[in-house]
Amino acid sequence: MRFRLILVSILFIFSVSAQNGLHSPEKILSFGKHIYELGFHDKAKYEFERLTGTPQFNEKTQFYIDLCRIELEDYFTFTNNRYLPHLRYAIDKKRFESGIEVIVSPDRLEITDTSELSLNILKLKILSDIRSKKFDDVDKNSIHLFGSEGSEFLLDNLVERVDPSTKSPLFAGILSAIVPGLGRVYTGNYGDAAASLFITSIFAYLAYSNFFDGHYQRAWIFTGIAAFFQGGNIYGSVASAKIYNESQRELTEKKFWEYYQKSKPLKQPNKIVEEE
Amino acid sequence: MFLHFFLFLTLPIVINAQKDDLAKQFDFVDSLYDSGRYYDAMIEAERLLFFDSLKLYHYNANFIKGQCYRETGQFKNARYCFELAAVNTPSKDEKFLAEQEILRVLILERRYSSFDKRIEILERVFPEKSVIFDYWRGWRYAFSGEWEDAREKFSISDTSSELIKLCSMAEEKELSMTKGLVLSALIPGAGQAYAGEYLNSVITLGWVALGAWLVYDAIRADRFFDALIEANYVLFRFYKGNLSNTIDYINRRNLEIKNETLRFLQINYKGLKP
Repeated sequence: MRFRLILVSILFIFSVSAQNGLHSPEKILSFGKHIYELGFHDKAKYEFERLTGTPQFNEKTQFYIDLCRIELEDYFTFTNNRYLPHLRYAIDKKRFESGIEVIVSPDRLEITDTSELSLNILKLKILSDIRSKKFDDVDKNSIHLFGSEGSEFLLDNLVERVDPSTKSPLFAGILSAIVPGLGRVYTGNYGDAAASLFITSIFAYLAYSNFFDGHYQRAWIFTGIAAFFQGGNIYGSVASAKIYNESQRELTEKKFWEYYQKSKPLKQPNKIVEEE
Repeated sequence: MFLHFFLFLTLPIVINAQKDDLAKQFDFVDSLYDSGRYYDAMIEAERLLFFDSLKLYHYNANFIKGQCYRETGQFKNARYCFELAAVNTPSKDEKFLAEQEILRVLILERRYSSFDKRIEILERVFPEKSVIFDYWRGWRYAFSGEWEDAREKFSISDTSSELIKLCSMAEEKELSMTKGLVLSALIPGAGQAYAGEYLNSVITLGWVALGAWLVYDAIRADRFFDALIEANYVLFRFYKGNLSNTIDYINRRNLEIKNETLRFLQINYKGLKP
């Protein structure tokens, strides 16, 4: 008995010494997962591919290789295995994060059950729909998945998208044409409005005063300057309304992504697989 | 009893085998770095860190990772790795080397105030390295275009005369801001001409002259309110623009001189540089 134990110990020690140190299949796999998490997807893919032909190479390893390809935006065909739905989710998630609208087909929702993957697909559909100003019955019935705070925020964000508070550039221009600076008051730029009113009025007054006193050369110079400032004032008011609208849209988008980054409502595909 | 004794004897073999692997991996990382394969070296250094549970190579691996990041222009990551290297060594000399690398990265990042604060603290920790610190201060001043201070620090740190000579040359070539501003204040456009911007100089002079004529014409016609408005919105506006233009052009010209000198040093200077 003791002799056997010694023999086993010797074999163990020799196997430890003889194996290729940090490059054994187990270590390659764990290191590959580690650098995948760090974001070195090309190197992670290389590590997983090194496992081909070893006992560590299985459907999950292939899944990791495909995940790396998705991250590297090199996905046309995938090995058809049991992780295919996870890969489709990974692609959709990546597309969503790149700002592309994700269309989750009804067949994928029909198979929705309570598994982690299904719940995440559903959440992804809701997030994508909100970004695209859509909200159907499925979204309505499942928004609670984001928790009370999350769902409240998402619904507010949807309202801001569907019915944003905008300013009409045309109306701002017309207002400024009638009273210099009024268009800027409409868009909330009170300082600029006061400056426009003051400068345009003063040059217009000087033009009038010089015409009245018969100083025509000076009068025309002031007329030119007044016209220049009035033109700038109208153009500025139109631009200010456009900037206002764009900044409102950007703010809604920024708040949405801040929520997404902070709350991390969608699980990483590899985490879902690891937890299954 | 015998079995326990046997296992006790063989345990170091297992540990040594692991140490050996780490040593081999470190040599591999080093060779990758030396051959300029920085990305590969960084990944392999990460492997070393990942499997080095005893933290035997945490200093070296983080140091090389930092160097790889620096070589590839990822300065923030480089600083982070050098910080980790400094934390992971009990040796004062190694700590100093890591800190020195952080100083070099801070110079490259042009984070001068962080550099100044850090070097002040380091001087208290490593008082014996003051000459080296003066050398890096010299580089910091060279990077910020303060040639006189750079020359002074290089002289203290007893470096090659090449650096000192280059600082003097750059200083001579540099345009004086005071001179440019005085010229522009006296004759609008003259500061721009001093900076080599002749077309801008003529245009500026033209606008200021037009403003002055408008003001003069209004005063002559006893229209003092007109004169006030013209002085404010035409004459002084262009006069002020003339001064700020002079500042911009001189800064731009001095930046060109600085970059030219630094480029020359980057290619030709063989000594230690950021």
